[in-house]
Amino acid sequence: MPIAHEFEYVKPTTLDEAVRVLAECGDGARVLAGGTDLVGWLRDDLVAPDLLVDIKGIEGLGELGLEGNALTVGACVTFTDLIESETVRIDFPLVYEMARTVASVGIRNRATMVGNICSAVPCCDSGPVLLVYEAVILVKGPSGGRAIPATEWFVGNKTTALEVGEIVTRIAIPLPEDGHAGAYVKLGRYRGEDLAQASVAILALPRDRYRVAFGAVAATPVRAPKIEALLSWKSLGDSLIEKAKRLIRQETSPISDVRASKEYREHMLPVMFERGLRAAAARLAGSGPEYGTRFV
Amino acid sequence: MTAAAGDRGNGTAMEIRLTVNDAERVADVAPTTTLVELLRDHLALTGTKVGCGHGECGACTVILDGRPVSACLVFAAQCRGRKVLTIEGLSASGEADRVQRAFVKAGAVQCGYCTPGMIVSAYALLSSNPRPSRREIEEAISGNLCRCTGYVKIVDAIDGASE
Amino acid sequence: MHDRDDREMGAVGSRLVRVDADAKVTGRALYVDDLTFPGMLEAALVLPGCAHARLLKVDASDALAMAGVHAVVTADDVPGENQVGVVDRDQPLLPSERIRYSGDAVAVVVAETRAIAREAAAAVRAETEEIPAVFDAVRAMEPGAPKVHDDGNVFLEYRVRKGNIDEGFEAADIIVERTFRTHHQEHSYLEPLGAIAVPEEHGGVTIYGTMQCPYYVQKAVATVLGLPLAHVRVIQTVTGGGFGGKEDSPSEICACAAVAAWKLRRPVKLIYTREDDFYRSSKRHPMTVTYKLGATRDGTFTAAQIRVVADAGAYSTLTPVVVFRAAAHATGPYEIPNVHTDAYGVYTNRQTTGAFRGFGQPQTIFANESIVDEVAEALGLDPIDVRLKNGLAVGKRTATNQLLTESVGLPETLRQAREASGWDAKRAERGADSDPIKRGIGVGSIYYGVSLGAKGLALDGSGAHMNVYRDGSVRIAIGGTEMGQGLLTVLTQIASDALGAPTESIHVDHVDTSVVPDSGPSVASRTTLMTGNAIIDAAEKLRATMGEVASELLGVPTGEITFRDGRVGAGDRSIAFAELAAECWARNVNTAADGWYAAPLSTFDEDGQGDAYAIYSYATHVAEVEVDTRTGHVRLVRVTAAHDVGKILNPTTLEGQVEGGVLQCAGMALYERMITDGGDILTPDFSTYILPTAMDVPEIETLFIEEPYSRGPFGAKGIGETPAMPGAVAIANAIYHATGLRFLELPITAEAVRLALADGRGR
Repeated sequence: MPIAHEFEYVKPTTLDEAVRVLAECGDGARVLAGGTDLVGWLRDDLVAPDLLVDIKGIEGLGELGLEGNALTVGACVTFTDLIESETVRIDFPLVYEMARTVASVGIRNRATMVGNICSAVPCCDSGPVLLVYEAVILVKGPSGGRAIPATEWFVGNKTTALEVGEIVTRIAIPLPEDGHAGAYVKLGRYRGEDLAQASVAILALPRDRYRVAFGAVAATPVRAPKIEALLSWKSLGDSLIEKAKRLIRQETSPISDVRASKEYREHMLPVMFERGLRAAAARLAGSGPEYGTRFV
Repeated sequence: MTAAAGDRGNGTAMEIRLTVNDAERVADVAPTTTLVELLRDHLALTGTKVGCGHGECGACTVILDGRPVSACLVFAAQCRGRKVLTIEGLSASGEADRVQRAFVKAGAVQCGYCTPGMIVSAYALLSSNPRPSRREIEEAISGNLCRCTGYVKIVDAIDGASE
Repeated sequence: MHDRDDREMGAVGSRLVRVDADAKVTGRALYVDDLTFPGMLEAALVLPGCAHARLLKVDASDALAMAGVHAVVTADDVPGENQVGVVDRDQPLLPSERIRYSGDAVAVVVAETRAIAREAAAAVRAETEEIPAVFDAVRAMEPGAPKVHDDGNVFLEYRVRKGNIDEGFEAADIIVERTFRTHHQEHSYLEPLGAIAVPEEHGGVTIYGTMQCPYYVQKAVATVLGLPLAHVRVIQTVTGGGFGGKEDSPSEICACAAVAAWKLRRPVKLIYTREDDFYRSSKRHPMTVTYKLGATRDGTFTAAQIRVVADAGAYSTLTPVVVFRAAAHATGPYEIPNVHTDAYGVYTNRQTTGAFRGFGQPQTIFANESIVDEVAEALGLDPIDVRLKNGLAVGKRTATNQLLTESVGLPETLRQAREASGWDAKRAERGADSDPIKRGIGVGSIYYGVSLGAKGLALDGSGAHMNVYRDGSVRIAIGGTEMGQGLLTVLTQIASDALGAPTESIHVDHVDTSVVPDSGPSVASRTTLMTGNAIIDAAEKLRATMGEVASELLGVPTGEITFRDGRVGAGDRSIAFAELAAECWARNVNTAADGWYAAPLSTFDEDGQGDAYAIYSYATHVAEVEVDTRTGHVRLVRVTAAHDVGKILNPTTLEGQVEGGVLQCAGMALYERMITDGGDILTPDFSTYILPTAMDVPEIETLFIEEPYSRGPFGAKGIGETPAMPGAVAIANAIYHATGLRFLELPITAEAVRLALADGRGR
């Protein structure tokens, strides 16, 4: 089915040019990178831009690697790039594990992590993982650049802190200082590619510290501070896990949609959380399942 | 090939050059034109199929700069200067590629509508991973839907082509 | 009748490589959207999306003002009768007064390009006035329910009355009764529906399209254009899957394209988007089936009472035949002395429902095979033992009191599936209660009346035209369609053996209605049987005429001449088939022949008694599952699929049919769920409507039993439907075995399992 809505297309070669074009066009412009969400939305007439600004020609936006103490994920870095990067696989295994669950090979070859968080659907896989890594989203606009913490990035369903005229240049994912492990648990309806019915990201840090975030169970991906506070500085045991599971209802607000009912999501979150938590703890201790293992 | 389904006066038409199946091609496309429309409607390469238009079925899979992608989700304009390999390109020499031959031999073809995309995905997999496990094969084609075969003979074919 | 006993098998039974595989793997195969014609325009439909409304006005002024728009075609532009009903005349092509479901189209917009057509279609305004709608068939039967058609919602009723059920239930030691529900299932063929209509200079029209039933399309197009059938030529293009979904719906899309092309006198192409296809194509009928089964202590069934309510959607399309089949087979493949079945077809304001592999049976099978397991459990008997005890066999009688005289492979499918699956050991196995993963094994058995049976007599003949050229090459025109199942390949094999000509010399074409007489639909597992027999008939005629020439040439009596392996003659006196063809040409002997096969008569009286179908195919699937009780996820581990096929024509295509069917069963049982809200489909795409992928495939073992059918080509029976029938309930029964959860609705999603366990149901 062809796209019926009309628009123009530009492909700037510098960031300044892109920012200028975006500023000129205002909210009539949309940034295009992988396009895996945008093309579908255009086809379904869910968005109606006047201009697409293709950022794939801008040098530097494909950057992926450690810079100082943080992983730089440029705006054009695809999920396949993440999966294939040794740095990601070894130093940021939770990013690797999450990327492996995104859609199918053909989509992962186009879809970018930055696009994923710009689309900002509640089930976006990158969200919970960036929350637990305490990543920072770097944007550039007509009045210069700014850094937005992941916790402030997601504003609502399909809404972010990005302002009209701004463009995300990269995500900076800080490397936890003295080692970490993690687990990404994604609930799908079958083994084939599926959007998350619910997801949990757990980051385990030395000395019994944990970070926890959920996806697809609120209007945005959410961090779970109460659970984190409960778990921190205590040795992980069955009763503590049970207590933590009881807090999940306070941290999430799932709804019913075509993929799952609120009730099922509520049932599954503790199961997923426990599996992820135990796996993350085991991984931190040097055992546990290989990254990329499916938990449900 | 005449009237192009995706071609129209919307947005400013632009001339793009790209390499398709090792040949330099030039086409006038609109900003709205997707890669699959460029291939099918402008370049008469109808081997690439459209099953859903949303990147959910894999029938339009082609190889863009070495990687399989859903051609319905890529704008033609984004392919300027790039290399595209389609199902037609796999047998451009006149002889079928080993993956194509393996599909024939294994009985992996039924209605055939998923077949070009499936073969292109398999070809891409084997190019980067010459001896995949069955699990890796299944994952590589999990974005390519087939409603006829139950996938058994398709996985057999790819497994056979890998040896 | 086909002198097969005295001939060695050649091509038949071999793994001949699919004759269309090369074209398909190289991308050369041309599907309808790959074709283009000079001056061709593109079309799109206007769907107001109302579930039930009066149509007051179609305002096309904005659309017509758009550059590149050629026409907006409405009911007023239909030159003939505005009618596309297959069986009943209840379905306007383009409604002019009343919209009955969200898939009803009120206009066809034709433009220079597809994009313009779609944009213009969105600009057409339909003024409507909503009227009360009904979305549930059981509710639609109640007095006072909104009427979808003025004559009432219950438009169809079949009954089967055998014996006396009061006495039968009296004699029972145990009676189990349950009500089961199934939902819409979408065919999800990968190629969406599409059509091109080309006006011809002689005043007729040629239709190209993806379809199962070109003769239905021919009739529909002739009706809407008011043309004689001879002026409507339908050419089936390479068809990207059907599964029943391209039986009725192509008539609508082809007729839309035809009316538009007729008005503009230009070729018009209409291709559905996937969403159009979800809204407008017929689905598997949702059914509510109440099943009551009585049995004595030793497991002998004494009586069955069944009530089937089928949701036909807004128009009846194929419901009369689907519900007939459901009614005739509703007991399952068992001899039950006392049967009382009532089956109803009911209109609702939902998507139309029609054919889907199994044709109304998978829904009743879900009920009867669940109940049989419940009876077995209540009596402490093994489910396969109970099936063997009551199962049909030669000498037994069906629910319609039909005496089975040959080719009944059911017992053997049960025995072989039991053996190959390791049933007895696995059935006895009980995992530790503490293990959250529960394993289970379940069975389902079915029978399927091949071809159209007593409610399709007028359609049940098929033809073929066979032309032998002077170089010995053979081209065959047929009336049955290849839609992916492998028809062209097995027909090549049949023709090869029937004619003694090598398979490489034979080419079988897709259907062109101008060449072969109306051969009925390609449905009901009838096509290999019917068209295969027609080809054998044509070959017999050619052997007779060409044999006379060979006899003269070789000095051998005609009675001794055989056609085999590319040679014709007797003993050491023979000539090559090609040489004989040349000699026939030189002597002006006609080397073309028409073949025809008509199905034997079948009967079904008003009490549902009679020989409903000429022959039945049988199958048993055994499914093994692992259920994660913490998440509800069901992993289908292994399926053993045993099929009585009469005769294997090509093991590769046969396995392919079965493997695909097994996965469709898995989809029906576990994943596929079309969710609607009023007239809106909330799952109109493959990210919300879940199809199994390569990662969801179980280990599949296929077993074939050959109980030859005396009238089948080389003994073969139909196989198209049966693979998609027993699997869903086998999975449901395996889930029960694993968890103690008896599900009364499909699909059994992870969510359904988990929430049932959370409710404290199950073990």
